[in-house]
Amino acid sequence: MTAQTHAARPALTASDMLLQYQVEQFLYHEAALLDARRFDEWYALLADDLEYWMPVRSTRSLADVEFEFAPPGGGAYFDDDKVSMGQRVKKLTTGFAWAEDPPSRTRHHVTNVRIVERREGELTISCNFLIYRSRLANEVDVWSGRREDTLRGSAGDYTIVTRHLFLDDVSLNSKNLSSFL
Amino acid sequence: MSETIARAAAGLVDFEQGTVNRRIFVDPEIYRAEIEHIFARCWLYLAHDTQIPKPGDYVQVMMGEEPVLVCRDADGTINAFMNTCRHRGNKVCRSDVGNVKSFQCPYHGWTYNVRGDLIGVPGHSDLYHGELDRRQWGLPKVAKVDSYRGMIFGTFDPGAPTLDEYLGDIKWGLDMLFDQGELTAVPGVMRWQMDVNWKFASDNAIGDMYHGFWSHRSAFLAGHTAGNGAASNASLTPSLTNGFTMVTKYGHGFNASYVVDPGRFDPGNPLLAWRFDPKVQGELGPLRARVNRANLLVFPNLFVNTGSRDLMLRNPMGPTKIEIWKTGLVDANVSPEAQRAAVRATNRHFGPAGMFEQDDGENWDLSTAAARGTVSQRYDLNYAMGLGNGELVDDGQSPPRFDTLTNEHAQLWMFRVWSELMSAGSWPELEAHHSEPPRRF
Repeated sequence: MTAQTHAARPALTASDMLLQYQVEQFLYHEAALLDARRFDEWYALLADDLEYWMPVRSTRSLADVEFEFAPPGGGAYFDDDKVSMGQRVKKLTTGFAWAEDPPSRTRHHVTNVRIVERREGELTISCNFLIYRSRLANEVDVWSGRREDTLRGSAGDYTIVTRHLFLDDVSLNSKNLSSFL
Repeated sequence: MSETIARAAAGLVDFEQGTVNRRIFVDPEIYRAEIEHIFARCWLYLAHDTQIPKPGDYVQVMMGEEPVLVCRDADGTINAFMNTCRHRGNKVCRSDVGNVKSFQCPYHGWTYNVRGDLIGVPGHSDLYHGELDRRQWGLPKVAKVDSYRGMIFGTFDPGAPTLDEYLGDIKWGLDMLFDQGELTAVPGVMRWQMDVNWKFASDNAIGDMYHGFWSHRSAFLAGHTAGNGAASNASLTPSLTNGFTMVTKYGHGFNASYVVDPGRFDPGNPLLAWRFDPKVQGELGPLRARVNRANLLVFPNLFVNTGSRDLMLRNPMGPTKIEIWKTGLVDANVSPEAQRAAVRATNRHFGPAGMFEQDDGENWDLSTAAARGTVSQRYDLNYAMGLGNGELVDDGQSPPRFDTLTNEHAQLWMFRVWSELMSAGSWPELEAHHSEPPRRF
């Protein structure tokens, strides 16, 4: 699940640079939609076969650190598909979504973007995220981790097929996680 | 000192009027007294048996604010002892879960076996001249460890009643979950922290059937349902009569709602097999067979949900902080696909991002914050719903129950037991004046 973290350094050709640019611009656009609370437009970027997953983590000794993330079928903060993500988006506009009404203020920082695998029509991207959330008068949450996305499409026109989020914490220091990461 | 505080705190609950003073949710001295009178005294949930199947398997858990290791011995016995070296107090284990032959303190190398006995001291023969009696310096043991249907509990108090006595009639409620199949813990405990007093979380668990239609309204409206096929059929108005409420001796209790339309259950759904299994239905009996889902509290801090099948422990981390530890359960006898579906449902339901629980976090946090005020503390909280209208039904179908679903009897009962524990100096003192649930609320 984390095997692609240490992918070999890519060859830096002009076409690699163009692809890198296209991918980064897509990810920045997506982050901007979330921060602007344009959730319907954001939802349109999700593929119909979406898998959106953020497993829980535990502190393990070095000898079995490979097991620190719970496997699929274990505890996960997000364990969603396109339909359930649609419910999450719909929830926000019901007028009764107390955790997000008044809305949180978020800032998505996406960095260290690497294209770790290329297949016909699909790319696997690894990037880091740092999301700052400010809520009500003085509540602040910071969520940091690594993200592995599968993007489908070409030339900067992508849909998100999988998003696997690997948080840096074993215990989330937040009363809730009512934002999209 | 804390004895005096504890007795004074007990006076902040008015059982007759159904009111609770907000001080009990924020006061640091009351909190210290709770740690002593409740968390160092009551049986506390530790872990599920299936989390440590093999000899040497362990999990690190919390009992109140004390880190504890729960470990399986070569003969299958479960041991629980404190995770603090007897030499300088460092943790002898810093991982959450694993398998070991022994625990070795990283500070000076004192070594303990999986029963917590001290088996190795560097320099024992020369530096200590062979004079340190290792038998006296094992890791402090949890006084009693026992389990009920796979749930392992422990108490620090050797004077506590047996687990069987402590749980009492709440076992009848817990069986509604454990009769559903061979329930086994899924990998990965979900943990998150809230700026919440632990009692607001327990109060919600034991009997708040009032909040669902409103707190979780957005989830219902968005089409979210969750559970083992027991889709939440709560309507968007709370029901007085569609279910029942139970309170039991040591502060436990639950509310259980009835299935509104049994025809909606799909007999082909493996997660619902228990609803169509005559043996299981026979064990449950007619009343429990009617239950859609129940929210239970094992006092002081374990929330059990029979629909989404989770065990959710709310560990205190100070007067206004808790850490929630959620363990999901799946039926070992259904297909991997059915297990996966069940886990997905609970992951989407409870947790910081859960369609239900994200709104709980918002509400409990603000209830706690508002209890800090000198002036707000002059205004008691209202726990009087249904007070004066509750009558215990004792018809042999169940332990005594109230035949109403939405009321605040169970919450009020929890605070009454809380106040009795706070004012009693020991288990014998508690037993001497502890009350059974009254016939009328």
